[in-house]
Amino acid sequence: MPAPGCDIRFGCVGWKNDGPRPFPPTALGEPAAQEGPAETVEVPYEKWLARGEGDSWPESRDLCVRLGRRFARPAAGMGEARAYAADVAECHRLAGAAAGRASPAAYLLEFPPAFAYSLETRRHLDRVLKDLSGLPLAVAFFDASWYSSRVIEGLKARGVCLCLMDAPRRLFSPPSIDVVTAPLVYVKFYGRAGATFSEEAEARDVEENNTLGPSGDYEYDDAELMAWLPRLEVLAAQAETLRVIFAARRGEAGAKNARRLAGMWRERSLRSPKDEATRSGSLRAGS
Amino acid sequence: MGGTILHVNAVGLMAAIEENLDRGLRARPFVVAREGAVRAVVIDLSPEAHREGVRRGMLLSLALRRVPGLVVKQPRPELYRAADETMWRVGMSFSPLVERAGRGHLFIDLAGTSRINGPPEDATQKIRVRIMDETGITPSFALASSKTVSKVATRVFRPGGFVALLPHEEGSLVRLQPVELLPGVGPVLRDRLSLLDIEDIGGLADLGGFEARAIGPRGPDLVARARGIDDSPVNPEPPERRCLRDAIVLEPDTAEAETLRLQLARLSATLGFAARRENLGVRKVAVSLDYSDGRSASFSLRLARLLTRDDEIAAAAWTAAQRTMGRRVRVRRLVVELSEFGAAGPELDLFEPVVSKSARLQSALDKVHGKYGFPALTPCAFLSAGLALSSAPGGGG
Repeated sequence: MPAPGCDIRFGCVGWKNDGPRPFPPTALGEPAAQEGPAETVEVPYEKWLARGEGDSWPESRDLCVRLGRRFARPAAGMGEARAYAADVAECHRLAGAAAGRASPAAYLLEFPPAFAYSLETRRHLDRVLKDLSGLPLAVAFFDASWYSSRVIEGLKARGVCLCLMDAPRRLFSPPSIDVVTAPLVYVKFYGRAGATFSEEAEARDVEENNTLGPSGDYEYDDAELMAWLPRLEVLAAQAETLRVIFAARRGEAGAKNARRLAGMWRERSLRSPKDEATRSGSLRAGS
Repeated sequence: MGGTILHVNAVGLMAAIEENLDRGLRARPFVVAREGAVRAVVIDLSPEAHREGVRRGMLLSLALRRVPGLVVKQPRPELYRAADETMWRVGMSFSPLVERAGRGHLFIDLAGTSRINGPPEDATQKIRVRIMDETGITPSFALASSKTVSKVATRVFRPGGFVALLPHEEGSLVRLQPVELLPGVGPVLRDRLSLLDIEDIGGLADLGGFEARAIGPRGPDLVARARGIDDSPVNPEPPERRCLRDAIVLEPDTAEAETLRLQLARLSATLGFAARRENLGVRKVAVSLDYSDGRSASFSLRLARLLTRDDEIAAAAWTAAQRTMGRRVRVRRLVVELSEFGAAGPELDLFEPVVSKSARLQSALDKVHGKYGFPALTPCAFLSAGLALSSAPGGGG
């Protein structure tokens, strides 16, 4: 039976480094005005931190924060360790109601493909999860070695969401899975184009504060998006919060994809009103 | 192109149904047990109760002591049966090849259904939504190229998970998992493997032939499964019709090896004939012995290839019997069981297939048996031992 009131929202990566444009982003991932605002947006942690006091972000806007690379790798040296500790403290401060703004619905931590399962990386993950405990955290692994029963059970025990990904499927890349490990479910679409990870691309991503995905700006076709509807339906039945984010590098493909999938979801819910309760979140968010 | 074998695993079916009927139970520790019964045990439990240390089969009184405030629901078998039936019915509407593998477990072979249901991944999602709509529960689903791999995968991504594995992903995913997730590895074997420092399925898969046999009689089979080698088909036959079985009571009881071997050959001949009449070969031969002192022993031999001839089946039965007979006590009763059948067509060959002498003999014998009845021809070895062939069993138990 669908979980009544699962809060489901569709959005895209929400920043583009196109100059001194202040927060909040407008060009990036922001659908055209006549089509209404995106239901949610994923912003990089650095931009979220760097926002000016004068920047206004409507309280009603839903927000997901993508944590920086300091979280994704063990600190090398005292300086990095201090910066990491400061970031952890800031995350907790942001999440508190005292921040005066709506707290982020999710924090996403993406680990690059080089972050394969080993004693060292496992310890680092354990430390990060302990440091960020209490936050609605999702972790994304691009190396298949993390997709084991031990890791999944560990995430369940800590109440941390395993980010579900739609990405190109190659050797050593993760399989296509759905699994709910926490009340939060985070689904991220990276596209299915042939782009791969590389140090260069990663550096550019960080520089541009864009997503750390294997590809971006991929326009999904209808069949690819529709195949996700039943999967989202089952996930919504098991989750309290569901965020669906499309990666984007430069173009508008992410926003377009998000709008189309949100539209399909609403249409599906109108066709089968018995599941109204599940989709009420999306209907509210989209209205 | 991914696999077509779908495993549906409704882990904790009873608890899931109870939670579905009473939403107040969500995120609370509860168990299904016959409260009030003498020495009541936990029949099923919620994930929260599992996290608190409650386990299936645990005494209810102990579970209640361990988790104060534990909710106890009375079992309602008719509801669980109905949900299981619904799952099977939904599966049958997508493919005729649906195997019931215990309550809440189904194997569905989606090969060849793409024109009706779409690609197997899409068909899986349709099945998933229909089961959720009709029963309210969210089982785990895994799509792979073999039953073993799909079963391991549903044990990883649960509850309510889904995974569709491409052929190149199967090996690496299975290797990573704890060894106890491999079907056939129970607590005893897990402990034994742990002593050998084998914690993951990958460690088991890396064992050589000698090491595999050292684990135990089922070692080679387990190692093959750990490597993802499993060609067992999805069998839509109900469990009671999945085997051919015949037994003989020895008069008088005997421990003489030659007599036992001949009796096994005789049972193998009758069962083999029954299998061949349906154009079936056999992959599994099991032998059970009842000793004169009332104790029993059994052993089953799973074979790498399909056996069709009597001499092959008899040899396999004798091997199984030798592994069973660990005591110097006379045997009272012998049982032979053939299962895991497959179509017994001729093996394809690049050139003209060579029909062996023994295969031709078997074919001739079957023709005579078919025309004049089974007892019409009896091997000399049986006659000299005072045995005669009885009529072939018609199948079933």
